[in-house]
Amino acid sequence: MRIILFVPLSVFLVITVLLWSALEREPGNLPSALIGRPFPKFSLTKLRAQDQYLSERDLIGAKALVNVWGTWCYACKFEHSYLQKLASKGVKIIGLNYKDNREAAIEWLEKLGDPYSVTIFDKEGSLGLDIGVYGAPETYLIDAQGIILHRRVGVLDQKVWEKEFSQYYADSEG
Amino acid sequence: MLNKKARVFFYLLASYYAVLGCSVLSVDIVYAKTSMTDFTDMALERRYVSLIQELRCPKCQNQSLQDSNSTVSLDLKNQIQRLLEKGKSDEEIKSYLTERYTEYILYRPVLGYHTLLLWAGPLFFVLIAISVLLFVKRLNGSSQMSNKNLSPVQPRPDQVRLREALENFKKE
Repeated sequence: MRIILFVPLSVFLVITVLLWSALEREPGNLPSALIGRPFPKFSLTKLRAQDQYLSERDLIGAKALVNVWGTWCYACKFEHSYLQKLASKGVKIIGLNYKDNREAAIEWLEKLGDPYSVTIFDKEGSLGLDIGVYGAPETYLIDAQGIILHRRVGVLDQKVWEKEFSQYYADSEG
Repeated sequence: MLNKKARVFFYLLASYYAVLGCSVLSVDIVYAKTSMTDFTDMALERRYVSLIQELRCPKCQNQSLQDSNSTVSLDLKNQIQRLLEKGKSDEEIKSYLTERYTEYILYRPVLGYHTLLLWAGPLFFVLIAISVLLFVKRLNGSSQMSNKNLSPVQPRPDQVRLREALENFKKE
């Protein structure tokens, strides 16, 4: 009978622990709906060639990063030098130029360097919508079969690479 | 003449209605802003408004698509309008968005094992509240009983008659 007096206290403690642990979570980090699923179908032109079309089949073959960027995106500029470092180390990066102007985007790559093996030009943002982009920069990791393994929203830098991506590259490079 | 307390009360009442009136006005303004879409069909527009009210902006967490002016919200609103005009149902539109942006985008969460706590949680707390109330009442009841034993009160004649009637009823 006395034990029942401890029920409110224990319920309080359980709720406290629950809420406390929730404080650590980052609600801004949306999970991707596409983890473990193939990269969605698309048909869009290459950034540097208006008449050449790319599709999801062009992403298959090797493990790659798909990096969503635009010249309007300030953080993308910030991220750019690190992407170039990754590219020079042999990481394949596919660009997804999102809701941008073709000329401005080409100029940006000429000026800052081009870390991308190829860049998809998504002017209307239709592919962006299909992969659930909600802000640039975003980086997706796909395997050699085109399955999405990981997604990072926000700037990709050394710290993020070591924490979230390097494990997938452990076998291929150091 | 009104006394001071009554006057304060009426002032409060008046300001309450003033605030209420302003908020209704602001709802109207928001509605007018979002209805600046080019729907030809009023029924579609109504569905559009109710959809963007209960879908969540992926970028800004605490805003619905209706409240948000972020690029992604504008894109999603346009896409919803296109899908509505293609004749998609509300459910199809919601699953289209959930496939891309996960259940995060639904302000009205689906009922499933992973959301059981969310749905059953309030019921759980109400049950706790009720059991605490019952417990406290029982404690009070027993202490009142002992008080009565200390100072017996003569039952009223109608209570006596009622009790007798109940006893007879039980015997039958």
